Amino acid sequence: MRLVLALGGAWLAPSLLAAVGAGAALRFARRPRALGAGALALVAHGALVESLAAVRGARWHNYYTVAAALSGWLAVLAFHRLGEGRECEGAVERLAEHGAAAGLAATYVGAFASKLLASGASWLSPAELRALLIGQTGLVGDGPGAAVARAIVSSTALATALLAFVAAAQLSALAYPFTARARAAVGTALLAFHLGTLALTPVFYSEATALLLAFSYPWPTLLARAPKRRARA
Amino acid sequence: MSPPEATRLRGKVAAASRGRGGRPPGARRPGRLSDHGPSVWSVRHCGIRTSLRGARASATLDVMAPQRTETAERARDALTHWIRVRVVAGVLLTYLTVSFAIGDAYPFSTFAMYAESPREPWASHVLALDERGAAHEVADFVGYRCDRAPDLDRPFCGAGRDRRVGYIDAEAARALATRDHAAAHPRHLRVVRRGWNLSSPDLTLDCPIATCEASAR
Repeated sequence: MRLVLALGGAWLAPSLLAAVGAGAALRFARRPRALGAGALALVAHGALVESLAAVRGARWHNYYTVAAALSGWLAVLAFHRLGEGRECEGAVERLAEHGAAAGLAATYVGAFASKLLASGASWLSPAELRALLIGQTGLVGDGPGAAVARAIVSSTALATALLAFVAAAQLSALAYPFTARARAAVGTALLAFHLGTLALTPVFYSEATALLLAFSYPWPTLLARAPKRRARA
Repeated sequence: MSPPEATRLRGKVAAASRGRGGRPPGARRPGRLSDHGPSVWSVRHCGIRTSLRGARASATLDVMAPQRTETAERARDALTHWIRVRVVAGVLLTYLTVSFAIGDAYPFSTFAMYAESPREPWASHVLALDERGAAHEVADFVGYRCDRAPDLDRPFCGAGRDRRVGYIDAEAARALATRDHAAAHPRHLRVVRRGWNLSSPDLTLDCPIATCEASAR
């Protein structure tokens, strides 16, 4: 994929790719069973992400959560197409949604497994979080976020507790796609992890946060209840 | 169950599979059922085939009921849930297996950033210290004019190596390169790489990089 480095040097190719990707994504948003449109959006997104990585010399993993969720959705659609049946089309969308949630969950389980393989239990040592906060922020600033960051760097117990929370939240993502309750509970923990990271550092996984918000809560049920509440009031 | 009754039930199964007859108005179309042996039912749901051992009794209830009974609904929900579990587990395990097999290749990734515990005894960040010694981000100032070209790649000045964040250093280098900016009310700054000892973070060490003048952004 390093060949797409050439894309970074000119405006035309990335602009065309972005237009094609946005068009395909819009079509997929309107017709979530459109496997071709979803696949085209994934390919265009991948080409842009890889060219960005080639230009910057580093991968931005934020974009990979979207790719994982979309891949999970498309995998279920493709599996369904390979099967001979076309019945219960609505149910396929529900299955595909579960596939997307599984793809999203896999990113967190993968992050946990990487830590386990690379560092084992020593990842829970406060040095990891200290190095992260120092490297990202330099502990400068007068706001509450900077004050909390300084407190975490100073306190071994606080740093270890936060790392344990992160590890537990990422491991619990194994349960995320299986039940609605697990989605809400694990999703809330992972959202707390992302928002906590944003409060302490400039690192924000906006795409992952948006996906967690979308997939973790029963929005149709919640939105259906909202007008009733308003009517009662 | 007598043979004529079994034949009648098989007919109902076939009719249900075809989606006509035997269903009350508004009832959902059932999944297709076919007998694969003494206690295994094969179910095709949304084009995905699966089998469930021991579901025969529930499935029989589902077929026999002229109306959808609660038990039959539960049986079908259980079958659907089982298919969903298999699909979800399949996607999750496939993504993880491929990611760890091939590494970071779109759309797969192991998300291994920050996975390794730091082996370096220090962690560092490039800072701009003002006249009072207060620390600021280098990017809080523009129009740097320095006594020498700031070299952020120099090794750490303390004992042992330091952990740095490459793209944060690159951002600092870009900010230091904004020399052509018209500097209004320049302030005297010392640009340093400040290291914190990771075992004892109260212990810090400043490695001088350059002495500069720059304006607050």
